Amino acid sequence: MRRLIAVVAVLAALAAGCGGDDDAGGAGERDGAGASGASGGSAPSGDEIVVGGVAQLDFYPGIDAGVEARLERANREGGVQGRQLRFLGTSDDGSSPDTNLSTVRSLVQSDDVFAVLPVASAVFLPQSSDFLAQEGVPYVGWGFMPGFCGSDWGYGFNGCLANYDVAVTSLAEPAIEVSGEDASDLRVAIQSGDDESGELGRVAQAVAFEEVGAEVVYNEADLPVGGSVTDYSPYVQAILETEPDIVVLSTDFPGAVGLSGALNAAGYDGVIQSFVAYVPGVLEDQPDVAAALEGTYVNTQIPPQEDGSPAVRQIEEDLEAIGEDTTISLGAAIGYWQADLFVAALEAAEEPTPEALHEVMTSGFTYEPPEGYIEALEFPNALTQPAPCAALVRIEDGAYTSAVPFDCYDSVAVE
Amino acid sequence: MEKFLNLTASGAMSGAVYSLIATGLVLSYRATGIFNLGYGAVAFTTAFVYYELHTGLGWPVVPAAVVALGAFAPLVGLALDRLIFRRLGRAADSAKLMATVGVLVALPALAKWTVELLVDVAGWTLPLGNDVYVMPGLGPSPKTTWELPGGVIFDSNQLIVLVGAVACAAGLWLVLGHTRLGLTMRAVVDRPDLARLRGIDQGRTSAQAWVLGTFFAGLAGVVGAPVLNSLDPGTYTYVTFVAVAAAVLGALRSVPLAFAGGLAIGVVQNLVAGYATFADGIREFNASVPFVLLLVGLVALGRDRSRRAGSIGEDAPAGLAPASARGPATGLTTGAGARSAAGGRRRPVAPGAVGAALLLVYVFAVADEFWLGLTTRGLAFSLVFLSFVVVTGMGGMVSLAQTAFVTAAALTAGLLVDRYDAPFLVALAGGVAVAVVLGVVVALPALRLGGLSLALATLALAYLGEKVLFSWEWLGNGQSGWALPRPALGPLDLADDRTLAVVLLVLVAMVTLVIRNVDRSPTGRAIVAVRTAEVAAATSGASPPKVKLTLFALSAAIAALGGVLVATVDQRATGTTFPAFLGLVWLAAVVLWGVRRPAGAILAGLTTVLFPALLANGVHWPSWVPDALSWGGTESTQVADVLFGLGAIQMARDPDGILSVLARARRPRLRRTEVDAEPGVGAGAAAGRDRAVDAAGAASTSAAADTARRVVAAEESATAAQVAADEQRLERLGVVAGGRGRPAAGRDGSAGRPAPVVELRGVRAGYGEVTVLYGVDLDLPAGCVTALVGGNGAGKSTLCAVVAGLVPARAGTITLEGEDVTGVPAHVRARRGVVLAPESRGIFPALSVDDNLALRLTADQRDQVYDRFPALAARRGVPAGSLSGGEQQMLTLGPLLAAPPRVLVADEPTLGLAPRVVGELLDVVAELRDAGVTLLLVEEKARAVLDVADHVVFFELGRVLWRGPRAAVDDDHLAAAYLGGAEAPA
Repeated sequence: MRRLIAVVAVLAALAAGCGGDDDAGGAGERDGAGASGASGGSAPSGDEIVVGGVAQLDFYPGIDAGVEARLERANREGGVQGRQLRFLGTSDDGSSPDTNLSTVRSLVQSDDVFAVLPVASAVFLPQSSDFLAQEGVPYVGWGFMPGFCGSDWGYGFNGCLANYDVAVTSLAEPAIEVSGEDASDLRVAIQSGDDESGELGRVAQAVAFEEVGAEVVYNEADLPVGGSVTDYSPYVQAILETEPDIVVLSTDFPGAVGLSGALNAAGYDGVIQSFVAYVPGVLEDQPDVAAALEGTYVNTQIPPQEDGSPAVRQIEEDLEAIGEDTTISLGAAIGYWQADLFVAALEAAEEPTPEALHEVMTSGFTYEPPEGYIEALEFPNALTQPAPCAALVRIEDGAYTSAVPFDCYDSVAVE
Repeated sequence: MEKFLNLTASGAMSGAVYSLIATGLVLSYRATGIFNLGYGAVAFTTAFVYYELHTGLGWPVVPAAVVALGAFAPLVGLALDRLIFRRLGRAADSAKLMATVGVLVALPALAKWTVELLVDVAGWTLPLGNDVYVMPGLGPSPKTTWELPGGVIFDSNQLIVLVGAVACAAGLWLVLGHTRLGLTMRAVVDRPDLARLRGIDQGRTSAQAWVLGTFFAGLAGVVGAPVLNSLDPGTYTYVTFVAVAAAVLGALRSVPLAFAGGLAIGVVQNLVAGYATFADGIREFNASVPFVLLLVGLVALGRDRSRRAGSIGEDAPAGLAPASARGPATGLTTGAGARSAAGGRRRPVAPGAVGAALLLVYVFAVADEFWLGLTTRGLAFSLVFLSFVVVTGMGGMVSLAQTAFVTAAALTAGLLVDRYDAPFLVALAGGVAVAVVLGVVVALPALRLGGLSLALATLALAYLGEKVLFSWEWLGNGQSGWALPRPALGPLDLADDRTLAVVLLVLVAMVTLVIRNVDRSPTGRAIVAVRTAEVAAATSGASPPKVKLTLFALSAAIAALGGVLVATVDQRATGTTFPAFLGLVWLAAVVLWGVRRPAGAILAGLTTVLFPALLANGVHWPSWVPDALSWGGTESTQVADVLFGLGAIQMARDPDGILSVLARARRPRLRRTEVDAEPGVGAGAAAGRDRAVDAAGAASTSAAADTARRVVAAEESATAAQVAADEQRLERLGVVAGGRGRPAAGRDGSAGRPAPVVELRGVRAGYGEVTVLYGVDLDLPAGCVTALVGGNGAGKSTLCAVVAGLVPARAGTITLEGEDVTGVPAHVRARRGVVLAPESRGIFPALSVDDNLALRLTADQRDQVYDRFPALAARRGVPAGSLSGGEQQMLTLGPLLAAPPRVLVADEPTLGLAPRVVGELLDVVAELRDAGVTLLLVEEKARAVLDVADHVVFFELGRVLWRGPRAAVDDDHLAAAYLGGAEAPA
């Protein structure tokens, strides 16, 4: 016992001593990180700018191809500010928060990346984004996690999506357009998932539909998430009792498939709009999914390949240039647009350093992608606001078709 | 009303998928004795194989289903049995349950990894199956939909599930209750050794049980796939946990009730979703319903009462383990407190201190920023994991709710700091306080439940915490959670990773000390008392409720401390970082290293964080190390999970954990010998007898063997002198007439005596390092009753076990009718007609009287037994365990009358029986002898059996002392001299 106490005492002394020493140096370094970023996001060594990312690869396969396609075009065009871009690839976090955090740390501390790109993960928790911000490493991704809202270092390719204070009418207007009726004549039922993003959806959807003049007759966020629902009838019954013209499914993919199928089976023939079911390839591979979604609409934040717009042509061209399949998967699309934002911002920066990138994003920068996508995304506004843009696709005969091409609408403050 | 009926009907229809899983779970639990948390993983993996064959390779439904269900699922069962579960029969609850967690994690990962490799390396074109939302099942794809009158809609997939569930339930009910296979499986689970004595091949039966279990799991997976909207292992596991509630409603025993329970869950879920509008404000209320049902079911119907809380029945009895390997009270082993085997003194340099020193060197001199950060995080995890040592290691209670304590504490601390600007230490105290309250709440079921039921209850509470409590906006602050900046405490600025690492190391050491001190205190003794014998503990002044609440509170406090510090390391607390499911993985990691050792928890914490990072980042050395030794790491997230499965296999080899293996390696003298049987079968009941031997057998750990060795070694030294003295005493007292008996060592060649059926020559046997029999020579003459008489601890039960084949002979030979059977296993000897009626009654207490008889007898023979013993006939349907002692003995011997064996070895048949019952019993013995059975009656009190004996053997300290014909033994003198005057006739 005595011996152990002695050991503990020695350790404590060591801790105090070393802690003290490190304090001086450490504090300086950290301050430096804030001001000059010396410790974290590395100044590019040599000629290369190195990026690597983290994602739930189960859900976004193909994301590497999208990023690679865009970065390689930049390299073919002579690099960004004379520097070539090197992509380390995207690490899979397997939907584990712990893996995500340790991947992010590894990218920064072992791989010394300039920026973390791409990011597309529901387990990119604040622990991960806090770390990047603290280390002064920019991260570019799909902004549905809190780390893309309000942090100077996190840049969502279509803005900050996890925002409770703003709703966008792009959630509502395309659906109203396809209904063919006046918004004021429409009854809208909104079914959201029983989790954080479902709650966000419940509020934002209602605001959007009411803003454009429709009546919200049903608005619940009580559908269990994760594919664990074995019977949708209680939800379908409750929805149909309110006799809606438009049913909005602000749920995860299993919920959207299950509820769409159940609504169709129950004979509902109005508009069904969901948000996550635009996954190119999935209808061909899974006839049951196609059958369940038949006739429904998907409101999507990326310009669908079916639009055939210049933006889409550009991705196809860039994918082809690196020898990839030109079918634009969901992963490829989000990877591409993240990389596009990164390249555009870096070109606008004064010099190719993380700090200069941070500077340009926080002081004022307009992202203007090719036609057929977002008209213009203004930073720093986009650090706290979503881009009010969307397209509507329809599932018809087991395939996606363009219903309302990609366009931008308005933002509304949520009371 | 229409709505109600509609919801009820469609709920019942969709509940069929839970019925399908629940009935299979019940079968698997009853047939294997292990509650397989990995059941959903087996279901998923089989469905995944079916998907790859059917959708991936384009096979038609039938061949794909045949291969997946007929070949793959059974092979999984065989592999699981062989690699893991066959070895775990006697392991602690925690080890059994955690090995199934290994299956849960590793099996789906192995399947997915295999497909990844086939695609990436072998270049096959296969779907990875990652975003499959509706998997085609056995029915038409897309499904066909029908509408019933009243607006109930159902489809072809639901119909197939419903039909499948009904068919399964009927099939399982038949197999389990009405076939020989079901009977033998239940017998093996009930009393494995007795099953061997009854000629049941335990290994084969176990394999059959696992094959059956995985087949039904696979069936549930393939049939149920289309109604689960995701081909994802997580969804399958979740749905399986929901189905557990249904199985619990069937008390984990009844197939029909489990079936009904599944339908009921579907109905209740629908009704809640349809009517419980009051709960709209409560996040995830609908998803919580099954867990509330599970909890209510466990507490209300928690019929698993045979194993009360904190009782690790099969664990080594703590009091018997030597100080060398275990702490003083709870059998806890502290790395720092390891003491030398010889004298119980602590070693001068504790391994813990060495470990801590090495870690410090690493932290300060070797680790780069990245590994330093991870090591710091790992130490915080170590702190969390130490909480398992308290509740599971010391208390023997499996708690799966530790994630809830961690999250609750972290969120509370974050809330206090972020919203209310509280100082760090106040926030820390607040977090710990909240977790302790939560710990007490979680402990409440423990007051009533034990073993598996408690584990499931804590799991349900963890899920409820995750779903309802932590998604509460006020506490959890949504996805953002709370910022928890690293504070500066006086001179200690925790913002620096090294400082934080050292502080954590100190905290880990302090908590280890606290745990050790509790272990050595009177509380520690009370914990052992409650854990090993709750009722006895209560009667001797230890309060079981108090002990259990204390354990959970202390454990929650430690987990909370760790949780706040993990959040401090991460600088943020969120409600979603540690999902309830992770609690299973955590405990499995700790059990893998050794849940009784603080060092095990510490290592588990470090490896949980560092190992996956090592796999992902690879091994990189300074430039002078050859490149061949470097490794770039793997990109697959499956590899870590697959390796976790190897952990389960390791766990099966050493249920006490890796550290116990290392501890043994440090004591080379104590080689572990595979002890695959307990002496006298009913070791637990052998109160006070053959104590050292029982300890060795029951514990099958070197630790217990060590005690046993020392106990016996002491006796052994006295043996030679004692034997000589006893021989003289017997003759001097006139118990045996000089010259009429034969000396023990002499060859038995007496004329007029029938040829021996069983012969033992120079048989030595024992357990581990303990030798119990020192060269026994013994003959059992055909058709005679041989009475073997000896005192407490003489080794009589061991001798019986050796004759039956439960304990192998280390030297010498055993022959049966002239044929050498020394190496023949017990179940084969049983089939050749050697029957052992073990000391604690040869019955299967959980099987009905009729089932007990059916194990040996045909229906006609059973009727004979019922004619002979009307008392048994009257109670043929009740569990044998509820019979009186006399009835149980009749049940043991009854079947022998109907189908006489060649040899019957009865170990203390009269123990604890009333004199009248003893009389009846001896009548049976005489009847058996008349039927030509060769009998060996083993008794401590000779008088009871001398009336029927033809030959008498005196047995002492592992040797035959004297033997001779009954007539050579003088009753009165024997009674007076050998057994004490009280029984001598006046």
